[in-house]
Amino acid sequence: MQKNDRTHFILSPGRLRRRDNNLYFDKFDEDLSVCATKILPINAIDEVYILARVEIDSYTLAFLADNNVLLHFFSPYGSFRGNFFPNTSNSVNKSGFVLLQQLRAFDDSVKRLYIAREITRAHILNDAMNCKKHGVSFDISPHIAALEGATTIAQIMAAEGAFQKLYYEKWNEIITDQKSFKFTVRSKRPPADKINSFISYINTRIYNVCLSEIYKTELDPRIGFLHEPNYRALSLHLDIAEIFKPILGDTLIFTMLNRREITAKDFETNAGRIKFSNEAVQKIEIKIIGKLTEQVEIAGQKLTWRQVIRREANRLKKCICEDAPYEGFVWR
Amino acid sequence: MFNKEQITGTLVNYYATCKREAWLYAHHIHADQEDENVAFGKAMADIKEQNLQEFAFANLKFDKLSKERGHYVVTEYKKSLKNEYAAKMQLLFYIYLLKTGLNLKEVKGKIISGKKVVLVEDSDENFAILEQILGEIEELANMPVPPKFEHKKICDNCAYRNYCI
Repeated sequence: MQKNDRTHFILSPGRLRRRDNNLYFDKFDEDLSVCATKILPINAIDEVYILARVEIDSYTLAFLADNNVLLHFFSPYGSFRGNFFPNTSNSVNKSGFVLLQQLRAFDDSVKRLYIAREITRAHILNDAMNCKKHGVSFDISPHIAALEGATTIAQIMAAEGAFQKLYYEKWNEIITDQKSFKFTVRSKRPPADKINSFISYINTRIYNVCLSEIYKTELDPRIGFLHEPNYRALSLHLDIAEIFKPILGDTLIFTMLNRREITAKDFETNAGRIKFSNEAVQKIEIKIIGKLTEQVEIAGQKLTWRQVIRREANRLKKCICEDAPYEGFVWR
Repeated sequence: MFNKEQITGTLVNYYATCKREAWLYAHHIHADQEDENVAFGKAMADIKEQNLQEFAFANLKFDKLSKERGHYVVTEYKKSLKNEYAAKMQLLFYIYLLKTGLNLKEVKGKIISGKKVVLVEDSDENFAILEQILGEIEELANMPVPPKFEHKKICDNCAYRNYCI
């Protein structure tokens, strides 16, 4: 069973190259000459996050494609540039059948509603579970009723939105440091305060993890069921992330804030934009990787959280392909 | 339409193991590639003998094909011989294709698992069973949905378990 996270981060400039059947990273110093070389064992990585200027040639890219390794490119300022997604005859994630079934399920209003409802139900239940674990009472029955009564995707979204607003208000009872991290309203692009900035960062990471797990299945991330695919490039990972945000993301935020591992000092404000300092990013990433590689027992199997996410994608796939009943994952 | 020409050795092996698995594989729904047994199988396929000529025939890839004293030997490496029947069928299928497709006179099969070696030889009887299986595979692959899932003992170690169960 896999224990490490199989994800590699490249933070300094250099060259990624293939030699024999392995991958090497030559680290560059300021004069662009090689100052260190490191092996990245090809069988032990699934993804590489490239956050610095890295040279790579077609020989290496073809090798990565053969081994189904995903690359994610980021600008020096941390914004997402794109990914390299292997598409060779060796790739396992190509099935015309699954794609057709996914499109049919999306077009079938009954089925789309069913899937969207199940995802939202799991999301609400997982949120409620978080409140319960922190001893905060929250009556979710009216929200579940509203969800059951919803007959369109818009109504499901509305039920979810109303619930989410109350859920975030409960955060003020969970998070002890109310001076720096009081939650008032959810704001994005850019987040207006520290707590929003924290939520955004964590959610983005969970979206990315869900996306890479979807890439390992035959599902197409472009077609989501709850989130409208018409106006964005990818949406299925947002659906899956709904289920895992409360389990992985929110709990991580609560623990880090309540144990004072992240404090107001870890944030920097630059031209009105709030972001983490580099040390804070490192602290958070260690936590995230720790969380993703933590094993839990589910249905008699020991799985890492990453594998749980892929299992969820597979269950959704089964529902799409074979009309099997689908129930979103709830962590009790 | 799925036709007999699309059948591969792996598909024959899967069919002899689990019909549902064969249906999924035929529809390019693949097993968990990170599963230990899958990773093991991939690594085994990589340990081909050096300087061995890549022999591509139709849509088949053999672990090893060699010529010995006037006849050809197809070798297949397996992690275990738990499912010997499936492995035998897979080799029989290779022999069948080489014999009928290339008109080779004598082809033998070898399954190597650790120190154990199992020889597979064809006979009219065997070929009759195989031909029947090939017909059944074609029929199965053309079904709109896979056979219903039934929990069997082998399911717990299958790389499809997170999909089926």
